[in-house]
Amino acid sequence: MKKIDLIIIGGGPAGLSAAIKAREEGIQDILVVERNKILGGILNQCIHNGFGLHVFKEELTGPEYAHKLIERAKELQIPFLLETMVLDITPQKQVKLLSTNGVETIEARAIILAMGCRERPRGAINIPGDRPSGIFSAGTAQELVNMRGLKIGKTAVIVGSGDIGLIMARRLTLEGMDVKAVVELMPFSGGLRRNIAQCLDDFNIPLHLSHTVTKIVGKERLESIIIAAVDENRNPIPETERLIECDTLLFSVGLIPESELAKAAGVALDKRTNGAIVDNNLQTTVEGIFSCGNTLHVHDLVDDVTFEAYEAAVSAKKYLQNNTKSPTTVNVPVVVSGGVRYAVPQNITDISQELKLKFRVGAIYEGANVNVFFDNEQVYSKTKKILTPGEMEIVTLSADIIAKLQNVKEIRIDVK
Amino acid sequence: MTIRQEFICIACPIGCSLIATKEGGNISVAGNRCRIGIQYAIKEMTDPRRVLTTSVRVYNGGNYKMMSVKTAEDIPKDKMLPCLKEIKKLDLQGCYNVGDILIEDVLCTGVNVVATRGVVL
Repeated sequence: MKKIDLIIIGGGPAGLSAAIKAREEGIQDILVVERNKILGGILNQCIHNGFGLHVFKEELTGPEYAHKLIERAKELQIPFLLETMVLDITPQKQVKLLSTNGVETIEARAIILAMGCRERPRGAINIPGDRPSGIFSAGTAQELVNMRGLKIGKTAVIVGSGDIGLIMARRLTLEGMDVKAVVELMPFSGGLRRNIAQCLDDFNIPLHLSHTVTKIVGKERLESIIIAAVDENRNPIPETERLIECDTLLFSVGLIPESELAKAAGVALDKRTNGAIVDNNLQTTVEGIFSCGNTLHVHDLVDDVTFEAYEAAVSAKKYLQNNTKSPTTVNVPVVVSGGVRYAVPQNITDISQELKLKFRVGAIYEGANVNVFFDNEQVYSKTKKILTPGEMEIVTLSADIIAKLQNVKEIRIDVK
Repeated sequence: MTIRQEFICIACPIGCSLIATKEGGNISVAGNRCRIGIQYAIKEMTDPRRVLTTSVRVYNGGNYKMMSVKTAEDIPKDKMLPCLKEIKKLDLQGCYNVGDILIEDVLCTGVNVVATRGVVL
């Protein structure tokens, strides 16, 4: 069986960034495996700007961000396979590939999972009604419009105010469609504030918070939908129902890490993130398999994905050098309390380095305190002006603080 | 006369809530976390601008491929739709690289329209 030191699964921003860093760190034997015909992943269809301020110190569009990564990867002569799908990974790190050349299995000494995420579909949120054409997930609509140049309809309503939904509201408007409304179940938007400003407010597109779609009507093509306000238990209030005529309905109702291959490899998953459980080397519960980017947990910014992928690459290099599991000096679980919905990493094993604890809250908090405890000892406290579920937060604990973890039973991160 | 306007800064994902106050010729800005916020609020009050992005068809290799484009800098907000119309008039053929200029000084804005993804055979 062919053997490779490091196989990176996925040639999007996470996979490319990991490959670049791994090669820069001196790993020679690398292979990037990409399912699509081109590298760059979802960045290719994200033609809007606002990427790269942190990594490249300039404002780029998605394709430009991808281009910079691809050019660097080519400069470093990193081998990649396109139109190649990974069918299976075993816990022994045997990777089964399917391409036009047939099926091949390669054994890796280390693997970085970088498969990204997928969209939650209409079916996942149970909206009743007909099943006519004209209903798309926001990302599919984005591909059809931006990559294939298709007109998807004349009048649209968007369900969900996550960033992709907001971006598509502007995009469809610019393409000549009448976007009648964005409907959001929660009392707040899941998207970035700047996207509400420049995608909705700029074009006078109304955002209906605490609203849902109660009916979808149409025989062949979508004809109309009925929306209603919801009460505090998110149940529709019948007397607020009203009809909106539209031939297109987009769903932007969340993203889920792509975890099928992680599962196949025997990697334990976190029920809250739907991604792998990792330690602070981004190593999963299977030795030598690392995870980063949206397959680990959904990020708001591609820049954060790149930084996380760099970390995974450095860890993979350490692992390959030691030819063993990273020196596990401790095993301290990270638990969440108060308003914190999840935190990554979920375990601390390596106390020789600073820790970037990434977390998300479940609701909006103004003037809240973010606290970190080692058992009962408070080691970090900061007051945040605003915390929203749409924005990932990062708490950095210095190596000096992390060194104190020796006899600690758990780390707790709390928002009050 | 004092004019007070509120904006959400679009310079980065934090999205600061800015308050710009204009008194006579002076504009003061509050709520910003960095200096870009000050520039943004002043610009938004006096000359609001946006970067325009879209995609265009390119006849390449016997069929049409899509290429993404942008205005190389921000353009006046009220020029967005007129500029979009100009971009849609493009009749492109062949190969393009990232950064290639497709329209120079679009609608006298002083800004070029450039390719953000290459198109190759």
